[in-house]
Amino acid sequence: MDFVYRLLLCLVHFVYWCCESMAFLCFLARKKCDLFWTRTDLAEQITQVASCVKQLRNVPSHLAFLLVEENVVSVHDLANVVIWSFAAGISFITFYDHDGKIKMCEKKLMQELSNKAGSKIFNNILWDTISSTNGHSDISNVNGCTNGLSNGLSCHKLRVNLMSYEDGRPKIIRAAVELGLREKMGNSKRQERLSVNEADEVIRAVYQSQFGSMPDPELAVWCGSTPCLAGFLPWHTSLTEFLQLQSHHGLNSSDFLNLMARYNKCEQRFGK
Amino acid sequence: MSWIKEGSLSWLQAACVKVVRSGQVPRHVAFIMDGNRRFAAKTNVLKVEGHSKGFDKLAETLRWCLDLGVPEVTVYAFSIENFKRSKDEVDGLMDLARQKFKKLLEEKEKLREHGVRICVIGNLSLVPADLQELIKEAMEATQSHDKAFLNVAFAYTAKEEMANVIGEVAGGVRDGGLLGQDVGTKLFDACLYTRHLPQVDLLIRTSGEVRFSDFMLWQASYSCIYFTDVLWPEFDIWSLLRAVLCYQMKYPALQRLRLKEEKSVLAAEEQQEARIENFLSALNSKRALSFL
Repeated sequence: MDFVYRLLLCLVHFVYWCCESMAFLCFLARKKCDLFWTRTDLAEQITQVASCVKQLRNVPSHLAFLLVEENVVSVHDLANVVIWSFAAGISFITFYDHDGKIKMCEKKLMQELSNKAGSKIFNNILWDTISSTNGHSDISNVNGCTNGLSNGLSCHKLRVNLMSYEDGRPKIIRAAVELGLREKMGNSKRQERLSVNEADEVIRAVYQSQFGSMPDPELAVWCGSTPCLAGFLPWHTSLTEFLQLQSHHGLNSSDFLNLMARYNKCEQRFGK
Repeated sequence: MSWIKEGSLSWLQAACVKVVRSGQVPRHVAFIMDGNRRFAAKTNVLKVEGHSKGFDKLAETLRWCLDLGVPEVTVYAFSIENFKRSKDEVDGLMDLARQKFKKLLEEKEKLREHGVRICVIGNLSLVPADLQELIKEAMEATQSHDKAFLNVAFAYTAKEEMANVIGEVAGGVRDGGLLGQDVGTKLFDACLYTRHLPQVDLLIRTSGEVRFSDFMLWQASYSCIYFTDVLWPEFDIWSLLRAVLCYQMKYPALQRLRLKEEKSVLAAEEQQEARIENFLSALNSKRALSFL
């Protein structure tokens, strides 16, 4: 009888796999059609995003894209996401993958952005401190934005963070060790258990030097078919809303706006 | 209402459970049981009745998990943040908890029969003293059972748990009991409230919300996440089977991610050894040159 159950389960898995594959093929077909029929250029997309988000009640100040089990990083698509995020008035964007493939594409991403975005947007994009100190041109606030920007974009900064496994659990562990060493040197003996606020200060100090004063991501988008955090920011994701995309490849501005609209429907109760 | 609801499956449902059980079954499933109040509003009953229906659903779900062969279940019963709710609702929830833990003590034999061990995790110092006593009794009454494990997260948040671990580990480093290099993922795992439990394989949240709400953030880092629109009191066996099927389909990818994490931990240890070796090699060369 066990053999019969196992056989039936294999059949169920096969049907599930067929449905997923069909969904993925439809996704690819839609992407091909989008590429063929909707040839909006980047300037039009920026205007479209900037005007559509004005109708939304909530736009995340920190958006994250998690590439889970997506083997190939598309720098072209990530650069587009950065530009749309800037147009939407988002202040922080984080790209995460477990193995650090995105970090390895950092130079290419900066180059792609520099080519696409033009100096007015590019000069208002901040990168994590490590890349800034590695001899890349200092792009933080070179020209300022006293004259505002074209296309009705608001003048603000967008910080791009590239993260991998070592920016998750290992940093929390580091925070614990650093706190212990500081208490040892300061000869202090904490009487009570560490409060959440105290732990928060200690952890944020560890992230501050590399990623600035980033707020918790309000919205994180899984890209890929595996619904898993893969080690992404265990401390910062307590209230993060999670949405899923088939892939980060072939994204267009409508997909981006669709994510913003779905995020807008989320209602936080904060325990109440 | 009993803690484990007996005999609620039709023959077709029971057959489907057997089919799913023949594959990879998650060893530890965590539930965020959300939607009791919306269910109460939908069915025009009081909130406390919605929560009571939620408990009934918990009992049923435990039975299904036992049938599926899931040995460990963790449920998010009450968050520290829920203390922000109105006094009436919080008092109502505490009364419901008292009722259920008293019932559990009355049903010791049934729990022994199923071999279910109850463990309550959270900052129990925030809970009324009489309820703390009941919880302690319930845990002691079932601590020798070893076939299935139910963990109830009560007055719990993941941040409070992690802050507690960070504080304890920092204290160990401060007082000299630990060195910095002793502190890694394994030690952190071993200090959590859930230290006796395996990692969460599958996390299910009901009611359509798509966030963790400060639940098992560390433990669910590499879990399969399943969000469903169904309100918790309406959660049925088909919803559970769909979640387990999703886990089974994603199992190879999830295993790859877990292995990557283990490799990252090993890689960090290897890098440390490589640094030490390089340092010693450079030191030996320097000494050899100065000798000449």
